[in-house]
Amino acid sequence: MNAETITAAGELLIGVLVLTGASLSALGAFGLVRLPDVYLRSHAATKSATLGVLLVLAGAFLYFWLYLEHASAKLILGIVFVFMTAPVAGHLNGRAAHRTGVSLWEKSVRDDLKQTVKPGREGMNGPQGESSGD
Amino acid sequence: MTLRVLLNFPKKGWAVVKLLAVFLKELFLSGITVALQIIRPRLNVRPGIFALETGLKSDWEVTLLACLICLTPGTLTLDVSRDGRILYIHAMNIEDVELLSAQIKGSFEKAIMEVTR
Repeated sequence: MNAETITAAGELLIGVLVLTGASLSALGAFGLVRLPDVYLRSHAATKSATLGVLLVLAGAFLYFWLYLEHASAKLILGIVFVFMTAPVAGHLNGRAAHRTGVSLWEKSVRDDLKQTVKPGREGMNGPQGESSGD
Repeated sequence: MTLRVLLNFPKKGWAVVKLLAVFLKELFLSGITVALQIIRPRLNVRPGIFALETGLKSDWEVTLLACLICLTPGTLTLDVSRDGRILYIHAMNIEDVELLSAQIKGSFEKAIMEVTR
């Protein structure tokens, strides 16, 4: 009887985890369409995705572990690799957009990077251009 | 050298766990904030890019900080200055730049310093 209750509670918890993750991913897709500029869109795309993927994979891991008695290292590795690659992709997207001069949304308040990027660009074309291969 | 690493292991291990905990907390809190902002009928955000001067020194520390900022919803590292001292961060909502940078310094930077030093 007691074990049954625990099983039911565990199933409920896993269900909630996976559903939350799925709805966060859906929200991320929605935000990708809705938000006004590249930078804000990348917030929605990469960020909701990390949390969504974390929750879905954690739910799957718990299910395998508790109900099929198989601790799946693949799922953990999946989380690790998503968390290693997602920030790099987001960073490079935003950086490339800013460097090619994509403007911010008109309601943006400030841009500290604007003044500093210009000299960096000229420096890249100059004699010290070897450090531009990043 | 090896002995020192071994002796430091419990302390460092605890610092790593603490960094993970801080990161998970930030991840969930700001994830929910961003999700709420997306579903709000009228978009009520003030996005912008601000410069964060970091106290971290080595490449490793700065890379880790940039990655953690990128992973947290609502903030995105756009660029790092040549000397690695200033991070340019695009934030979804900057009402108070001082507050935001103090938050990042207080949470991530402190936790990273405990791990690496």
